[in-house]
Amino acid sequence: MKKNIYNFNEEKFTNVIETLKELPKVNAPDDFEFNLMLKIQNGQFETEKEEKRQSKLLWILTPAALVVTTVILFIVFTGTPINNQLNPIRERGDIYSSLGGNSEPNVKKESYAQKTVRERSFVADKSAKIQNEDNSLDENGFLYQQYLADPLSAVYKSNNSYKLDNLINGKGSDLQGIRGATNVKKEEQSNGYFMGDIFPEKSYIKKSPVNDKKAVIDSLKNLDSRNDTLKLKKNTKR
Amino acid sequence: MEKKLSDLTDEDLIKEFQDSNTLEAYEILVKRYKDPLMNFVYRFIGDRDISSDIVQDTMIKFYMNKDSYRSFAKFSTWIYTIAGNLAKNELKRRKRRKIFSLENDDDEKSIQVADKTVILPDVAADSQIKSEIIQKALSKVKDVYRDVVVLRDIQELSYEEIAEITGLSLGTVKSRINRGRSQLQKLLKHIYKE
Repeated sequence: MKKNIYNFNEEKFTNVIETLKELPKVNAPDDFEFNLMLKIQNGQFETEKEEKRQSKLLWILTPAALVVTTVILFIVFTGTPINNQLNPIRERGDIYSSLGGNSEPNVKKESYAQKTVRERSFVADKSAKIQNEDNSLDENGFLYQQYLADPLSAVYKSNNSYKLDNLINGKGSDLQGIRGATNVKKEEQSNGYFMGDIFPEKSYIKKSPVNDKKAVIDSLKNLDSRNDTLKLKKNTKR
Repeated sequence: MEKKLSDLTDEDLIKEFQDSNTLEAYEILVKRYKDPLMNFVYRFIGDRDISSDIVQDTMIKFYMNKDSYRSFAKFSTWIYTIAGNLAKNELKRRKRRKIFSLENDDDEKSIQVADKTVILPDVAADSQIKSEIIQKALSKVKDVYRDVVVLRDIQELSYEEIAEITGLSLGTVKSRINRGRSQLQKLLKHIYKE
């Protein structure tokens, strides 16, 4: 006879208790023990779900850890990438200085003023094919297009110059040097164009010539601040 | 030797298994507890295949961690604890995946509606259908009430054993059992004959 494990407080649930007791017993499958011993003998001790969970965690954590580590190392060793992106002059300055006739082994050591003068020379050759007869207002636009066509061909010549005022007014293509750059006359055959502060963006072409020139003026006006930034960078690298 | 082992209590068998790594002792314990555990887990989970896997995992954990059993506790309490924890983990996983369709409110309504219109008393007397209805109703009961109700009313364990298995106090066990029975009573009221 079964021991009555229920007390009188449970009488109100008698029907539920009896209903649950009447449920048929569910037994394990016939091959339960066989499968179990097989798993034990094969060393399949981890359950499939635990394996999946661990593999999922590994699958997620390992690449995430790698990405985080890479980003941290990148920031630590290369410095903040944003500064470099915001200061393309520095990058382009390095590129431009590596090109051209005056290949100076110690480009980085030259002063910024010297670098500015050198950067304000004009591109040579290649322009014969696409030379524009009108050497007035469109010349810088034409020259800018040439740069876009082949930016790596930018070679500076120190003897070319443009007067910025004439450039803006559309009268000519002479550029007065600013901030230390002496008057450098434009050669007649020069087909170069002012480089240095222009950011070669495609949208730049689509703007009106006046706006283009304004952009050039603005960029030239920022030379001071960039000079300071460059000096600061040199000091920090030391 | 085998007869001798089968006459031993659960605690003696596991001690034999711990000390001598006697596989026969382990197999006897598996044979003794596979069906009760299967019944408990099935009534808790509601899926036969998953319940079988859980009981398999329980036995494997028992094999792997035999040394973690301490003789001052009952073996049945220990192995029910393992099975109960694995079953609860499975339910948590289900909830995260949202595949436990019986939790849909519509199912609850459908049980009651079906009891009124489709399932007549004579049809409800069919044990298989009744079992399915009860199992569905049991699945509707909250998890924290369901396991203690199953341990008490289906597995017929004592309050003290249930408190040890679940890690709850005696008072909490009793109150949860009563609440679970109350919920079940509401869900099954239509199948009780007047």
